[in-house]
Amino acid sequence: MNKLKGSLAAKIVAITLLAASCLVLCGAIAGIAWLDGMGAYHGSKDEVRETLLDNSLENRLYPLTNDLRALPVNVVYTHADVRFELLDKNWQVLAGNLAEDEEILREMSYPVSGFYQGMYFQSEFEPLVTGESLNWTNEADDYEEYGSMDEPSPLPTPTPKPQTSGELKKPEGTLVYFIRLCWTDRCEQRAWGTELQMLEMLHPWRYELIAAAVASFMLAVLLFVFLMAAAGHRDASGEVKAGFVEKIPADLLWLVGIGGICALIAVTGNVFSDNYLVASLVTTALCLLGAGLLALLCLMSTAVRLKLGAFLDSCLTWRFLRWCWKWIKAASRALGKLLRGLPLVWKWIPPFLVLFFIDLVWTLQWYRDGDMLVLGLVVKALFIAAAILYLAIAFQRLRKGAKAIAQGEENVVIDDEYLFGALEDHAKDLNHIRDGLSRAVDERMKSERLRTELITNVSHDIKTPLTSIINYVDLLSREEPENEKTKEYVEVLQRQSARLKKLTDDLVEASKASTGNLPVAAEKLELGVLLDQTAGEYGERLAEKNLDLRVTKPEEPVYVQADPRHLWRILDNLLNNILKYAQPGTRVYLNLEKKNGKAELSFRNISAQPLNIRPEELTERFVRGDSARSTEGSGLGLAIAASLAKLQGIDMELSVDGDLFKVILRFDAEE
Amino acid sequence: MAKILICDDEKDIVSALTIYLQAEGYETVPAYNGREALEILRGQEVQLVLLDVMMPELDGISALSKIRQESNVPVILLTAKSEDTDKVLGLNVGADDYVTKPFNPVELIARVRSQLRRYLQLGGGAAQGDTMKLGGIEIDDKKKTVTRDGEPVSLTPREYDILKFLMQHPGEVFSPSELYRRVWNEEPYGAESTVAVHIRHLREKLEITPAQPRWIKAVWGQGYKMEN
Repeated sequence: MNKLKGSLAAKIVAITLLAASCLVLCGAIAGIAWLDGMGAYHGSKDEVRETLLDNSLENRLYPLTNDLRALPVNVVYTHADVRFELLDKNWQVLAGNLAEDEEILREMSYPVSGFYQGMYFQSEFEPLVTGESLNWTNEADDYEEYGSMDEPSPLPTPTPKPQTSGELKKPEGTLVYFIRLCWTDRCEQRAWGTELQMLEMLHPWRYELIAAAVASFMLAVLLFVFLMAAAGHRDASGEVKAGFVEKIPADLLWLVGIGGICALIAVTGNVFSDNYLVASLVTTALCLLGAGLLALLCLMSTAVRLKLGAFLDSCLTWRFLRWCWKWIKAASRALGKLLRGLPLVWKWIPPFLVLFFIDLVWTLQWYRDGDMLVLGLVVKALFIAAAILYLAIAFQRLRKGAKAIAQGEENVVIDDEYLFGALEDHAKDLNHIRDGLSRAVDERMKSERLRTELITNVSHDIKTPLTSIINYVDLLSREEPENEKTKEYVEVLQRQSARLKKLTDDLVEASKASTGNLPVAAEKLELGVLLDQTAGEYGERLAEKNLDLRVTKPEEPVYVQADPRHLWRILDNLLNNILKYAQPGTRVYLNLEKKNGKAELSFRNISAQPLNIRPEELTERFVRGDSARSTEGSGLGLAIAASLAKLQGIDMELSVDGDLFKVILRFDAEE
Repeated sequence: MAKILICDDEKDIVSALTIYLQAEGYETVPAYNGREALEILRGQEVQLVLLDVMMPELDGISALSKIRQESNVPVILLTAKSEDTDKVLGLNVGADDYVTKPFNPVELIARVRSQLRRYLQLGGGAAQGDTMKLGGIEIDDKKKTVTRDGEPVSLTPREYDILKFLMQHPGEVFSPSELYRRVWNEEPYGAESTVAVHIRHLREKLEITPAQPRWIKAVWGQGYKMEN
């Protein structure tokens, strides 16, 4: 197929065949139209023949009346190939060349108006059926003047014809005559023989003619498609290449092509002449062929360009538009740059000038017309309102973003879409600040993780020597002391090594909890049960220290989501704290209640020592590295509790009111 | 008397443990890394191994997995890491128990004794008749006695009832009020914390380290269960 498409010979053959098939198509359509005009597709061959004869008679009418006007009647007699009679209104023959003995084959009568022996015939009337009455619609006296025409026709062989006459209007001031035209056996055959012969020839082929039209149309379409597909293929490679024609801009080519086609068709219309039938037919055919070829050239070239995807680019108009667009863009960019370059404070000037100019022109133009002035004012007010609204929205967006950044929210992105100029710059700057902040936060997280790792590793290393210390101190304590002091010192060693052990454990835990380096497995818990368990664990130990534990909780169960072990660790630390620091002989209150969808667990006790420390400092000890105030334990208990609470999303609130120490844990209550 | 292999790269710890264990009347063999421990185990009959996890040459976990290929001698891991994942890893590889450093000598000796008794005397014998067994805890419902690794533990009748009930439902979590209802056979009416107190006492009597119970566990905010 590619070989065929690439072959020049195939294209030439295709073009030739296309021209031929177009010719056949035209001829066939003309033939069909002619035959259909004769009614060849409706009636029998005889009817067609009669129609043909009628038509040829009618064709003779105009030249005959023309001749009758211009020539003496006797000249006309001999000159006309058709037999005719001129009759007056009473059907009396005034003149004619019809001999008595001629056999009439076909006849038609026409009313005409004009002046006999002379001057003017008007053949504007419809043919008259012989013997039919003519009803003038003019005044009655006219009718009287020309007499009645009711009499039956003296003419033989009346022809049945479809009713054609109706209301006719008589031209004023003219006489009415009738012309009777007939073909007789003595008429020369050539007068209507050509057409008859054509009919004889074409009639048997009338359906084949339709088939030929269809076939040639299909062939033409096929060839056209082939030519379009083959356009641009110059060899068998299947590659589309631009040729010489494609160097011409597409729109120019079409302009020239359409111009040429129009010119050729115009020539066709002008050169046609009956006198030089053959020559004009040849000229017409050549012109049409030329026009067709030109159209084909334009179409094929367009096809090549479309295949190459270069149609728009090869249009001069398009290139010009693009060029214009480039310049407009460049100019607007330059203008924009100029405007952007203005200091922020001076940026009001261009819009102000534009508004002022528009105002000025508007006012000068419409200073008389109040309506238009008001319209201008309204439009201006709307425009200004829109501008202010835009500025307000943009500022609000910036404001919101800045606020979120200031509050340390993560993943804040200020959308700079639809912002421009200084507003856009501002949005970008804020986003940069946010990036810097989150980078800093990330780095801090990383360093905290490293610190946790460091603490964990170091504490592991500490544990091994600590094991030996604890063991040997224990062994020492089992030995019989040489004196009382040795025993005392060993006790100190025992106490302090135990404290060191606790400290290393707490250190690891506090560091993990504060950096969130612990897995949290939340479960559904009942705080009432937890309180019972706590009371069971600590009740006796508190009682030993002379502390009275009072637990209150609601009747119905209170469910929350929390990691049970972390939560227990929090409670454990808080109660250990109470054990250590509560004033003996006082009451310790453990209270559970539901408030506004929150479960509140509160611990209250009276401190033995005055609390001259702010609550925040108690929980931030580890983070801040403050020195521990306690002499026993690590002093990290509250810090661990606070970190664990934060890790699980529990709100832990510490408050100190005189000697009253109070901790409240707030959970989201579950149903 | 039983022979115990003590394996730790820290010589001081080995000698301290030697002193403690010999004071209890056990025979001891020292080793200072995993490879040595393996060699000794191949050459001698040893009834228990104390194995440090972090050691040069061959660490405790790898040594343990090698030991388990050849023998089912009880192994107690000594570990400085207190993370749960390390404990789980050790128990999965085949440790019978673990002690976190720095350990309490008394606790360690209790665990050694417990493991040895189980290994030597009980021999994993099946529970019979009215006795119930779970882990190292065994109760005889006829005599109403309880032993932990063969060692008798004296419990109050209530504590005994609670233990028996929990052992009948190993792994199941009971809230304090549920336990009260099932053991006391009455409605608790605010006596739930009594259950917690009893459980604590039970734990203190039954567990070697009550702060880190192996059997009677509290599920905070839900209840108590017997680990199976």
